[in-house]
Amino acid sequence: MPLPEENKNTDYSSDLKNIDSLIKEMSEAREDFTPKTDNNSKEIHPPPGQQPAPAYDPVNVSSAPPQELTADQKDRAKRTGKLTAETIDFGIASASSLIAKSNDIKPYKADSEDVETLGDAWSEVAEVYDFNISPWMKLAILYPAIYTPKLIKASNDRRLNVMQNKIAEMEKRMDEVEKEKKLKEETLAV
Amino acid sequence: MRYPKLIIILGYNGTGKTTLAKKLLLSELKKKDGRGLVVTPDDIEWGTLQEVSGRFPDRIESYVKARKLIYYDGCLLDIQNNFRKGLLIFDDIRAYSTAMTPQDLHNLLIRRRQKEIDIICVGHGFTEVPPKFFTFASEIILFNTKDNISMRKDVLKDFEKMEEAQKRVNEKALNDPYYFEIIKQ
Repeated sequence: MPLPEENKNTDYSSDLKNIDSLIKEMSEAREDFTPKTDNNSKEIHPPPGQQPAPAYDPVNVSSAPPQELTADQKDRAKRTGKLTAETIDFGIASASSLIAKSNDIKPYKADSEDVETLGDAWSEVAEVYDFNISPWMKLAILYPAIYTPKLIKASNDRRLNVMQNKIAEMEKRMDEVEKEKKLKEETLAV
Repeated sequence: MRYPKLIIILGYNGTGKTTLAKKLLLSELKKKDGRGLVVTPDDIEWGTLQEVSGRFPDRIESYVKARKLIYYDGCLLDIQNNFRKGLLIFDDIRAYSTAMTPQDLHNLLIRRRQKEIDIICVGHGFTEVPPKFFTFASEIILFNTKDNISMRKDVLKDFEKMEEAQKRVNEKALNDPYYFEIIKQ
């Protein structure tokens, strides 16, 4: 990756000493805030007769550390939840229509209220686990979900069209034969 | 180990403030795993840097070296959520300072220690940089600027010292347009 070029023509004749010391200062490591795991720490046992403190359980939100979500994060979680529920519903309905060899997926889709309930449930999951589907992933999920049944329908339609064309051709041929036969009979009668 | 820096660079066009910001970015990139993110209003000054698209901010945390981000509404929140351990430069802040959500900016500035981020804010004058930056600034690098400093009297730690520095720099800049001074806060 190209680095930003430094303008060599700029002559800093002024505070060079201080800028060098600032750069030197900035080249020092920043205070490290990465959480550390101490493997050598001794295990702490609860006093006899007492239950150990419950471990952090991300499913039980009430025992999780309180986290204030911003309105934007909540909105994003809601959208992610809705999209997840709708995508799964679409996928299951498509699969069901394929199993039934039907071109119509509507009978296999969940009611809009059910999808909404599922969407709310997914939103909660998205909030707790900070679960987010990237836009590329959304496209990668939605395209196959939407177009796979259409491609299968197109393939079926193609077969049907070929057969219909063949039938039409045969009917046309039969008409011609019929006409020829009639003409022959008329000629013989004359 | 040191406390993260918040540096404000002020000066008119052509004084060398962006060049200085690039110098500081290069110094960051010389570090092992050094990374930089330049928030810029357009593609002009930082053309050589690869762009982080606003639609994929989660990629910010996955790279080393430097990227640029063309400012978009909501990018402060994305930066706060996705950028860690590096140098964050707000270049030409006057172009988007009014669009910055005060709460998002406040959160970004107060969380920079935990996120291990140095911040550099590049602007043309005192009034074009949001007051919040002055509240937390560790250094102000002053190039030639005749902007009304008294508008930031309430947030500058030593107003008189800064006022004197501005006069001094502007006088020196008559002979040397690249003259600057670093004023510690």
